[in-house]
Amino acid sequence: MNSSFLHADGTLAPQRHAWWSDWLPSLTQVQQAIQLRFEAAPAPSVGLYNDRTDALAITMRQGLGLVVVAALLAGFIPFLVNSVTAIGLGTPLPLIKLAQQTQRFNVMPSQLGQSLQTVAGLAPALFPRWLAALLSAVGAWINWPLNWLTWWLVYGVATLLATKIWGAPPTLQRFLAVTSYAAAPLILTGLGPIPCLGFVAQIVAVVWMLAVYAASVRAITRLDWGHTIVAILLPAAVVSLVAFALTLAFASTFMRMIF
Amino acid sequence: MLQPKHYPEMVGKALVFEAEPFLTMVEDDNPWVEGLFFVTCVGVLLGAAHFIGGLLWTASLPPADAVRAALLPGVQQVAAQIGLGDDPTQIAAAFRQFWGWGAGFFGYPNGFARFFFAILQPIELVLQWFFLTLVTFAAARLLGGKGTLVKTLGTMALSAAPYVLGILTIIPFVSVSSLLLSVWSLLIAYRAIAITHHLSWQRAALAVLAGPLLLLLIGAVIIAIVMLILTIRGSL
Repeated sequence: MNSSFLHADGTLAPQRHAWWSDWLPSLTQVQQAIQLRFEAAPAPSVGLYNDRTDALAITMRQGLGLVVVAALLAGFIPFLVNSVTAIGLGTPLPLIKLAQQTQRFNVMPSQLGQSLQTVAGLAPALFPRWLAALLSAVGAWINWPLNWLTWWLVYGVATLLATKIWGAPPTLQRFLAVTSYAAAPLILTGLGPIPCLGFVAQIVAVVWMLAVYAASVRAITRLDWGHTIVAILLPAAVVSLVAFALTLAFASTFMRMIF
Repeated sequence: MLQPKHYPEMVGKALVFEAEPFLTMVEDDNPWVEGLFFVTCVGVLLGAAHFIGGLLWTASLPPADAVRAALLPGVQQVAAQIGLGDDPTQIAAAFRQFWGWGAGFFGYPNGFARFFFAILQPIELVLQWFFLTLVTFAAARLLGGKGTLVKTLGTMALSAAPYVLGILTIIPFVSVSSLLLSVWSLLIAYRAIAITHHLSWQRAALAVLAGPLLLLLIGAVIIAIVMLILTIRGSL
């Protein structure tokens, strides 16, 4: 413990938190969570800072901050790579991706493929090429936290509803707060652009994220492992089934219209 | 009356479902006016962000006419391959018309459509808030809720808070998922109903889902009618 936490008489002084501590969990909390240690940590001698060491003592505000910061960190290396690529080619990112996909899959008629590649090479209407390219890379980076927030919130609510089948007690706030730790291992997905290592890192990140998510759901709901895993898989299963049923329904309707 | 300078704090707290902003709205002397002003402010901000972001997006992309000219040969080839027509002049004219509608709708060539949508944004948000609150209020009262319509209008206004994320669209190529906005908005509405009407979580959730379910039902009926008409036409 840092000596600045002590009064002159040797007693503990109240800890001064940084402005961002309301918006982020402590590093100790994140470390415990990614090690799947969700049981309450042993209290320090006086017990003043227990909330900053227990992984379960996270607020939704801190969870939200964790998801956003983790996504921005994960998106940083891809942002650098995208910036260098886009500025080098002098074209906004979406147009580069369109041209690359046209080339890679080669499914479009040759003339249309060529047309799309021509579009990718056109100069922006107003901005210099480098600025348009940079803005597109920044936009793609900002999309990282927005996409992660969508997954965290939407899948979190669906999982919480599934756990309610077995009478799990947590509130929406508590559930989303604790499951936000699953975003931390996903920072590794940011290594994606590195050849070979990136692929391995992405697989490790996803497996680790699933483990942290399952452990956090189990800790906050106090369900057994079987029910926890069923609750996590249930939303995905329901969405897949509904999508399959809808596809079948639409396909059969169109088949009837055609024949 | 609340000061707009308190809105950022209220938005932040509503986004993480804290009770304080909802209680502030309930205890306000004029919750529905407060709600209307709050939703309008969010709508105006959102509209302005869309407008500026859209102009920057247009400035970052190649000119619409140049893109159309570059795409035309490919479109003509595809049209010929799938049997839509062999006359390149006809296809060019049809494509020009289609491009004009599509690009104009998204405000790609100029800012007129964008300006229209920017003005429409606050109106759309206010109408959405008002009708969703009416349906939710009726459902909550049917399920045993005790809150008044005026207080429900005030607290339900906070469900516009997630739309503040739309301000990020001021940066070109940023897109905020409508799934995120609608789910987050519904969750805040759920909290608003639970607090205003003192309902259990199950009843509050049912009341909040009444509005979207009604919309889904109407949509499903319309789709079913259209499909029925198409099937009958196909069989004739």
